Amino acid sequence: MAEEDSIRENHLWNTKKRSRDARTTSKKIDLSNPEGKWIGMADDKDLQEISQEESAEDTSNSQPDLQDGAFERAVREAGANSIAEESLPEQFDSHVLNVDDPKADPSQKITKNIDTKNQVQDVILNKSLSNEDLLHMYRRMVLCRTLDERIWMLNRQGKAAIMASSQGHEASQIGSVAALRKKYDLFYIYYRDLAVLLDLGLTPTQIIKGFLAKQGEPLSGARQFPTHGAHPKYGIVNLSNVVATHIPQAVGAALAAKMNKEDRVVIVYFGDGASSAGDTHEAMNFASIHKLPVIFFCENNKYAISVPLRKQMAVESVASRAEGYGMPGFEVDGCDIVAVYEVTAESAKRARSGEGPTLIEAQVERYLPHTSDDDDSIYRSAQEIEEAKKRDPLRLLRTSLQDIGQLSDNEDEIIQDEARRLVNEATEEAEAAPYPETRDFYQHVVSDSGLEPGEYR
Amino acid sequence: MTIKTVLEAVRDAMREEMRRDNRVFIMGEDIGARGGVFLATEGFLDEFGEDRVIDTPLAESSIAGIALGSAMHGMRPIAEIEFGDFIWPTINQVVGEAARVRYGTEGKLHAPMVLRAPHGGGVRGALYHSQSVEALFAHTPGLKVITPSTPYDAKGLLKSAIRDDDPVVFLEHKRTYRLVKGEVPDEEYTLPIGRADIKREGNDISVITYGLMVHHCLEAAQAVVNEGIEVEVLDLRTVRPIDDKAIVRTAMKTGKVLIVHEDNKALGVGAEVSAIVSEHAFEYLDGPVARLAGPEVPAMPFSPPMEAMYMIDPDKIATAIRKLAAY
Repeated sequence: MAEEDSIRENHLWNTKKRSRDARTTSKKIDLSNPEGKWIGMADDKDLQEISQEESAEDTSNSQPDLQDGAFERAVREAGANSIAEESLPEQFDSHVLNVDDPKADPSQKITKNIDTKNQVQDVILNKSLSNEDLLHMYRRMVLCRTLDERIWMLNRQGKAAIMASSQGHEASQIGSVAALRKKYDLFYIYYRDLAVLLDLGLTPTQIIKGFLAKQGEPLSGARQFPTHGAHPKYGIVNLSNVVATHIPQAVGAALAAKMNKEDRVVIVYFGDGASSAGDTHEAMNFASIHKLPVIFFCENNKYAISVPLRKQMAVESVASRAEGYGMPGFEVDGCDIVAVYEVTAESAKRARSGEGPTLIEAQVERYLPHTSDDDDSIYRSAQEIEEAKKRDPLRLLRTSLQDIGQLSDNEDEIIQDEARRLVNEATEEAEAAPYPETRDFYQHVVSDSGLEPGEYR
Repeated sequence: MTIKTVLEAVRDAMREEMRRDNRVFIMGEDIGARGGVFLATEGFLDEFGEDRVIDTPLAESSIAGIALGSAMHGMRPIAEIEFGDFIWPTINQVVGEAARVRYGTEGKLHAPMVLRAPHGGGVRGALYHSQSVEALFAHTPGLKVITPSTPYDAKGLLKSAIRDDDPVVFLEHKRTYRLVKGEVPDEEYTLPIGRADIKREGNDISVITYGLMVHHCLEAAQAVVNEGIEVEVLDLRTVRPIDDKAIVRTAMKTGKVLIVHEDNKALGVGAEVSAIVSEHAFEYLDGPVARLAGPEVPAMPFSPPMEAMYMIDPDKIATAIRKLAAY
């Protein structure tokens, strides 16, 4: 177990608490495992069962959602268009991995959190990632990287109008999503969160359709920039291109969850640039005053388009600001998927048990320009990017898996080939799809209720 | 029927809706123990508790943004902005965000929220407590903007706004709060958003207006009766969606249209009303469409003579009516 312990310690080392509030966080990143089963802890049978349950749910579409809360009711009342669900081969399916059992009865969860906090803490802390989980996350990461590279290429071919690449951010996104409940928790994402979308259940075909503005784009019907809009079933909201405006909205969603006595957690992703916006400050202040169940997840890639971190803030880190709001703040190596998973799981536990918000600063790398319209050679040296690639989250996870004998070169090749095949198929399907019809151009400006349609402007 | 002030009508509307629907809550500055700076939420904290009557930090953008987030997730927030002049930090969350929720998600999400603010001048409020703010919001597809003038309208429209499935900006003229009293039914009622109301019938001139100016226009209409001028006063009540049918109907009836608003004239609500009349009732007009509106200065000065110079009053309106009648 010595080697496994050292891996664990490395992850521990990769997370740094920035808050002085030691009282509430002394055991925050406790990776200890009383059963001594850090690696290989996953019971393959359990995983299979989860997988079967998930795929049964996905195909039948008749089972009720995890919880029929106010959000779901509101969406239903809006009469939103139903969105067809698509799924991937099991080894790449995002629903296979769902560490926090989605079938758990949320009402029981609340009781447990309030009454026997210690027990719940044990349950969650012991439920860390198995090597099977990590291998699955690796497959997802390969798929995301392959998809990301393809979309960039589609832009260079003149087919995708714009692309903000997630290359270098994948471990942060996949690691954090894995620590939350899919189809229940809410994900307020921003424009560089391709892996979050993919991991929550959007298929490569649906995503590429967004970049090509084709019919069947599930978030906004191709009205918005790629990856923008909403997918209520997966709890995805990405309304705006105006940086940081979604952060108060995420806090409002958390307020709604608290008022409705749901144990729903809201995670809001944003970049280091957004951390400077006034809305971010206002939102964090409010969330902390009311102890709202929200995780502020900053993907700090050290550049806001071209403005480097030293011109963004005079303090050492984004996470250090948490203290000013009275919440814990963590710096975590955003290229270390396990560290990200652990700190997110811990923050989610805090949120669900009524202890309030957490600020996570995931230190990531941006390997490509801000978007496909940017030229980063003007403000960034090639050497700096080469240096950053030493921390490539994909390579780091691959090496870890190879080190523990979980992934052979041959297996890796199969994964890469399979990802390419899926992305090829998705590209073909998306390219062949038509543009949306303009018939609905005037639809969904305001509700029809209360007004006679067409009578008043 | 009971006689109420506009302020009481606003308070009653919110209280009744909060009793009726537990998704309704109110957030804003000083609305808790203080009951709001105008006492619109007096007694609410005791009745509904801190969870539904949220005293917010002094941060308007997030008042709107947090209300919006909760609205997208099943709540029905009323966000109170203490004064209309403090509403500008919310523009991004309201104009840029709330108004686009439905369109930008292809109808998957919507934002049933009300942004309430006392606005308008003539109260010695100077540059930062007097402004009319309706025109900036009214230009935005996806928003509804309501500017009531009487207790009856204020209550019925505020209840409709709270029940509406889209973001509504509800602007209460400060001067009407205690000045204007009127009959309000004791039984439950709502009024449709987007419908104008004829406050006075007449055949010679149509005066189209809203908010506090409705009362000044009614006074001016009374002042010219002895001169043989019969004025029709149309109260828009809602400036978006604007009731173009009612505007066209009254223009066709009288053939002369005077538009009156306190907000400054250029590119304002009056310009839209004038265009509607020109486009749809041109052949019925017996004179040019006239506008009487606030002057083109940034906002209302503090000193009484300068404030009076800014404000539209019944005398100024009567003069404009006489001029148009003589055309």
